[in-house]
Amino acid sequence: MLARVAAIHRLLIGSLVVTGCAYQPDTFSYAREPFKGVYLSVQCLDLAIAHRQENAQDVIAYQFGNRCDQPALVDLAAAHVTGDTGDGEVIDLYAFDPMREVRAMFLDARAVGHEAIEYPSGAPLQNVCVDAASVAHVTPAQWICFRD
Amino acid sequence: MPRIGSAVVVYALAVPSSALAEPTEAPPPRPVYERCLLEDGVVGRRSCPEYGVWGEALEGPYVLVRLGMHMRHLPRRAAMPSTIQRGTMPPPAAGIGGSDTSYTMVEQISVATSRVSYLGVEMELSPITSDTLVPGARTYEAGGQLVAGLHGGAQTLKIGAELAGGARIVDDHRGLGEQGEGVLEARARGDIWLTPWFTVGADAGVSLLDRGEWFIGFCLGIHSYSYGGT
Repeated sequence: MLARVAAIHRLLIGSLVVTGCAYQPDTFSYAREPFKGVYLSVQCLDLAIAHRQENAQDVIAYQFGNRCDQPALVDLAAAHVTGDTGDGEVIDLYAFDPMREVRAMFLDARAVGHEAIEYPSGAPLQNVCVDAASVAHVTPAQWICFRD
Repeated sequence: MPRIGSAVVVYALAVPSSALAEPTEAPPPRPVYERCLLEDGVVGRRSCPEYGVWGEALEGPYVLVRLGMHMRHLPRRAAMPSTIQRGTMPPPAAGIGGSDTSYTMVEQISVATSRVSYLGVEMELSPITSDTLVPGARTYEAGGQLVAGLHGGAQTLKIGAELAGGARIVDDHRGLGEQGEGVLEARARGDIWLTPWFTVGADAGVSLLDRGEWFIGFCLGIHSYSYGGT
């Protein structure tokens, strides 16, 4: 408990020193740094999704800010990601998570976060698509596609 | 001569003297904590931070840290006669009436036990004292208490009530040294949210052991849940 209190001391005081501010809705930026990627809002989440290649693998980078005054669910484990192999076949892609870290968590009101997750595939892909709505457990789906 | 509080002394000793620094040394490596905050690595392939550092605060209990100052009003107490009086005249009353003011720095660390209640510990220290006080004048030295509180409110104003109990050291400057005393106080407080994690507020309280004793103060609150989880 004392270690947690000390960690909270450092985190909160450090956060105040570095930023001192809460996330502002619809800005898609924090500490004067804009989110990178495609912007969309899903319920309480202002979400930015970007795609890049690392070591010949597809990486989806998520940046998110809570636009509401209550905690918001962020479940990157439930993110529905698909890939188009180019010959008409669409395959589901699953997160590279050897330590089984990725899980549903709540983002505090007016807080921000970011994660980059690799989605390995056995074959080269023409498109990679992400259902942004699945991150917040809402429907209908909101697909964002990136040409690979 | 003012006496420097222990916190200030510790800080002064921790600050390195530039006159003693070695010249032309390689800069020290960046702290691991700072490097982790800036890392943009992929989950499963990065050394730090752990996944979900942005959501860790809500996976633990709601912790509140308050830093502030109190102005304490301490009534003086009757002095014991210094010599045995013989005769029919009553001994002179000395030190009755009047009060003294002490300024203290206070830190409270509380953990929520429910949506509206919390328990905490509090440390209070008077950093400055004077050696020119008259005998009988009471000055607060240091104290510690356990705190139980209730709070609630909206996202602009937070109000609460507390009961604090513990012990403190008070010097009454009679040459008997510092005296230990029990503490039992009822308090009320109000806080305004500056940001979702920081409040500024005021508090006031009265002693349940001495009717003439009271305090007022202000504090900065640091909350692990935005808006206190309301």
